[in-house]
Amino acid sequence: MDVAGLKSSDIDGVGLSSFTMPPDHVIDLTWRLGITADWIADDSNGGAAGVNLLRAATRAIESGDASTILLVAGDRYRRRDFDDFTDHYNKAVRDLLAPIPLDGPNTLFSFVTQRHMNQHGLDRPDYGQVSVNQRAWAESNPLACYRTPMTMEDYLGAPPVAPPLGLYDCVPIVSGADAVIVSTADRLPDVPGVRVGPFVARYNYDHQQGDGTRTALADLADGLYERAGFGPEDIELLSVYDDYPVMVLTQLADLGFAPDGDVQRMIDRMYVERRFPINTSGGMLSAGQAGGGAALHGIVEAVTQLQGRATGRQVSVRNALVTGYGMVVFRYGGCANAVILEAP
Amino acid sequence: MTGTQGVPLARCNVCDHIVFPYRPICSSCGASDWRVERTSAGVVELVTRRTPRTKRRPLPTGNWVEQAIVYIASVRTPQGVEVTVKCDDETRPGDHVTLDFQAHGTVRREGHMVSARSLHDADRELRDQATAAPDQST
Repeated sequence: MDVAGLKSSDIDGVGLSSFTMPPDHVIDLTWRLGITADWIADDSNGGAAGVNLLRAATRAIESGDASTILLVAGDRYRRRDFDDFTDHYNKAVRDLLAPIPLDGPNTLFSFVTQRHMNQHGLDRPDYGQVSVNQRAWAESNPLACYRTPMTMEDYLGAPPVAPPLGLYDCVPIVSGADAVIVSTADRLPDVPGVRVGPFVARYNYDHQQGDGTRTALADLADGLYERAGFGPEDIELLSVYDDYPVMVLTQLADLGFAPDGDVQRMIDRMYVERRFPINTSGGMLSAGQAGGGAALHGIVEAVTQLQGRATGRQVSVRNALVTGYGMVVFRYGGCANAVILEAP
Repeated sequence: MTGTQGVPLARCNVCDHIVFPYRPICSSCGASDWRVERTSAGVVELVTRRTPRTKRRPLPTGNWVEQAIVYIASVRTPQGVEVTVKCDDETRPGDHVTLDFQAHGTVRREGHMVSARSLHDADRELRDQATAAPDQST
């Protein structure tokens, strides 16, 4: 609100994504912030909640239900909070996987990674490009959890978590928060507002009957670009939901960045030959995961870059594509969405 | 051997679509008409292992449990369903396994665990029992 020059009395909508807010709900947060709202939304669907809330907020403003909406994602974790959370994630996990003990989704994404490796002929250093490159961005982000430079040797030599996944394939769970304000140019004429472009979203697209190496974005990307009026070759910055390196590579391919299906070449083009601006905060893999699965993190970083406020890691870009992904339903994430944002 | 029971897959009575776990509406035809089809067989596709972050995990009672390395496999049943199961450190992709679906309760965890035993182990156990002295119990 300070950045936008607003007070609580200027806000008339609140959206929340948080895993640790219960027993409070968004109405309690609204009360605590001294806001009277004509629109509230509570979205606990993990990494997809941010784009989902942004779309809902945009539609609410377009239809006149509200004019200035605050979206907040945050979490405060104590150690036992996280253990409780992973064991009681949903009923399928609680009843059928937690007793193994599964201890969280790392095992499931070890399987997704192995299938992806086999399909595309990749090995660990290919996934390491994601982690190592994002860490390089995080060195310039004072708010990141991990900022120490990381080499490929550091990545490969890190303790195993669920082979082939090691420590730096997994996001650090942190306490933290992200927030954005959604409004219209006429309401906030002095704020350089990022323009919110087309959205796509699909939930439970394959009923958990695939293998996790393809998301709904593969079916939705063409429609997104058609409505934006440009293609993947024109995208200048990406925030790709990075719960695991395999999911970054999967979503990039789904979004059309590997038009020939050659994921190895895509990695070379976007991570080795040049460092394409992907997850320039360091992403969750380096900055940490907080806020209902860091639901707003990618949006906030993209907005920060487009507004020219990314001190120390600024890239000059005029548009950004942000994805959301998650929640693990039983085998992998069941939500996929994306939005295109354009510079003020 | 104590009785093993297979994993309870759900078969749609209308279109024969099969799922695990059960959910009320068939994603293939929209019907809500299921029968249980238990399966005890599978082939291992993938394996991994979980090394716990800490040696001991605190319980709500104030006590703690020792945490051992957990071996986990992705297994494909003959019906084409994939299940995530507890296995052991010798399990490898390609192994044929017996699946056992057992209730598993502790102070902290409730629910059902699917575990896999290599058919080689089952053969070995049967052989050991067959060569045991007649007055030894199984």
